[in-house]
Amino acid sequence: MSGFGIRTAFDIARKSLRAQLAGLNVTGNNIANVNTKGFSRQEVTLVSDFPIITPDGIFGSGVKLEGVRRIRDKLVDRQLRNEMHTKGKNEALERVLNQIETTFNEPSETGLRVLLSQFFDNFHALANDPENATTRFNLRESSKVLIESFYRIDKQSRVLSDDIDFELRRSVETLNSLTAQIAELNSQIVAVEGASKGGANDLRDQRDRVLDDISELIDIFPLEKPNGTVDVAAQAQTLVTSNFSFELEVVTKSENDNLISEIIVSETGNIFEANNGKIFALVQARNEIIPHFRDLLNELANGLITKVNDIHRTGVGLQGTALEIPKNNDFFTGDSAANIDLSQAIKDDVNAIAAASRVDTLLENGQIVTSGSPGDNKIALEIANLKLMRVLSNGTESLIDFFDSIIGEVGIAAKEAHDNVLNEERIITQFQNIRDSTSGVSLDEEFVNLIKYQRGFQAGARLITTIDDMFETLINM
Amino acid sequence: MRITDSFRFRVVTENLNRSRERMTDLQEQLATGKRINRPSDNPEAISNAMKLRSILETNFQFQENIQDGITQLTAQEEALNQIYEILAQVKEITLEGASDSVTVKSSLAQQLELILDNILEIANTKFNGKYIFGGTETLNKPFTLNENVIKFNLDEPVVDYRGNLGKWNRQINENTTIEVNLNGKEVFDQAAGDGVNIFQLIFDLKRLMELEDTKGINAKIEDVDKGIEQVLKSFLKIGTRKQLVLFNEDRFMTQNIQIRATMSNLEDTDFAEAFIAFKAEENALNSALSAGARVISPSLLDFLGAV
Repeated sequence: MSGFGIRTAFDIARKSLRAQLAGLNVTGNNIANVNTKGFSRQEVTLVSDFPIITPDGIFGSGVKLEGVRRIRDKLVDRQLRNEMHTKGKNEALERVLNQIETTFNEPSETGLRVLLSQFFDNFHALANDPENATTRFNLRESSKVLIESFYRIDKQSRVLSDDIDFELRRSVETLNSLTAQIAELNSQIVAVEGASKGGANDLRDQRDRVLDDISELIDIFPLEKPNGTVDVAAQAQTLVTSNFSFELEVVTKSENDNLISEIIVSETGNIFEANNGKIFALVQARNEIIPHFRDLLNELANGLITKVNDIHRTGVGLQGTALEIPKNNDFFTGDSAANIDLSQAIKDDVNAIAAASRVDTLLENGQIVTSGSPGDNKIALEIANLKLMRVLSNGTESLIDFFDSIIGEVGIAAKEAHDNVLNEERIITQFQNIRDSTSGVSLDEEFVNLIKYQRGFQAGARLITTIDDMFETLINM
Repeated sequence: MRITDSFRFRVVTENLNRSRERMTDLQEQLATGKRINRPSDNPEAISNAMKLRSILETNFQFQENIQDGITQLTAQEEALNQIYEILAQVKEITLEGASDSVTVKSSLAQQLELILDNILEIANTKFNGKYIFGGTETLNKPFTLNENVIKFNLDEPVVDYRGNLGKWNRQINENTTIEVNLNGKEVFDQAAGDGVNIFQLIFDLKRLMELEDTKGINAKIEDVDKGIEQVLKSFLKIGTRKQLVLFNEDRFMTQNIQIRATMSNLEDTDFAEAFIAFKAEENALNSALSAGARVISPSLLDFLGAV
């Protein structure tokens, strides 16, 4: 048939109704998903249908529904994901460093620092009254509390390390489930899009959301293939290729005195190293940060043990004169925060604490008798003065300075991580706003569309009744 | 720019969150009275504050040492003062005995015997469980009387010194330790130097009195003066040390006040400032809330009903 006629008019009206109804559906879907995370608004693509060419001229043949597309800016997605890695990393680091800060519990009236200071002050008290049993008991008790404090920090840092490992394992499990979801979505998208011309908008939204989630965990390079699937790689390791995902797992190793965690690819056993994101931060915290602070604490404990012992060995306890002096007259035993302890002699008897210097007398029979006098406080004074002596870090820091440096280091690192998190949050908000501005649903806009399509539908319906009237006119002629 | 609903909601929630975070921070500052509560709040200030606290703690210990030093020095000072008074008495007795007209020398001898006991008791003063004139041999009586020498008037030392020459050192500042004792040898027996053995001197005087040896007694007057001078010297030594210690005490007191002021500047909340900031933040939060309420509520839907 050529030319235009009433039938053509009916056809145009029919197509119009269909197109307006599709528009209404899409609008309804947008409104319904206004609060759905990761949803991109959709719109119907309407084009004017192929024109009809008649001898009288070229006539439009109404509207054609070409499909439904989602509005999305892939560049913003990429930028946003880049920031997500960094945010994921800094958030995890901040949490870990805050926990380390809590472990040290400074500044505080009951922290290690105050106890260390009191320990030396009690040697002054001993020096002031070396014969007094009470000052000796005080000194022993304060030493015990100091030792407990070392144990507590050491134990808490090991517990923290285990907690981090637990969180790492959970994150890797999450990652595995996310990559598996990508693989699943890949095959669904191919199935849907292969069957119809229209894009699998909602599945793609879901996949983009999963990619966002992965980005918080590790740094990834998603690459979309022409067939609609996305391959995901992190560093040199492929995690997803079309509908197959590679699982990762965490293995624990022991290094020096510390337990460390490594991530391996389950299938190949190759070591997987993240460069950014939460998983990277957790590995770094467990394998480097915690061991680093434990090392520092051990250095402090060891410094305390050796320096005090060096002096204490040259003294004698309050044991009267001419008594056999134990050969190894140590104050502390052990060499680290985990095993520092009082020597057995001092545990047994406070009078074994040496305040006096040792006098060796050679007897006529060749025997050497060591003795000290009860009022002598030379050794006690020397140990008390250790408090201010720069005996660590190549003679630049006292024991207390050294501890202050540890606290300073934790504080600076925690502050830096916190500032970075704030910064990243602002950047991410910016990008999210940009993304929302493109892909987000505006209810006002949808209400306008609602009315637009309603009016369109009303007009299309009016067209039909008008044509119907015209038909009736013709029939009644 | 296209402003969407989630965009609007995000801006509102984030403004509120930020405002609430700042308020919580200020609230903590006001509640604890501290501007910085953990190292990451301000690592540099915390580090400075911790250094100052160190100094304060150490100063506190030095002050304790100083207090203890003063106590010990005072104990010795008192003992020396008593000895000085007794020696003045000895001098009176000696002068009395040196005069030919006095004939009751045996009663003077009896007095001297009592004085010897008295001075021995002071020499064996125990303070806080320690013999103060025994050097570092603080748990044994430093001076013992040889009863036989008195009984049989032997030419042997009347009193033995069992103490040592040990020093009681007290650290009164970072670089200074000070001796807070004088040993018994130094105070009572300088016979080897240019002084006298006080016990021996009194014993000898007693014997001379018993022998009524006026000439001999006269010859001893010089020794009595030497003895007095010897005790006076000890007394002055202790006094000088006490002054030095007291000077240090004053110094620490002034220094501590300055340190506390600096620490307060570093750590303590400036309440006026914090309250003003808190009030300002409260206003900001209220504004954010009311603006948020206005931004969120209107929608085209509110007006479509009329159509």
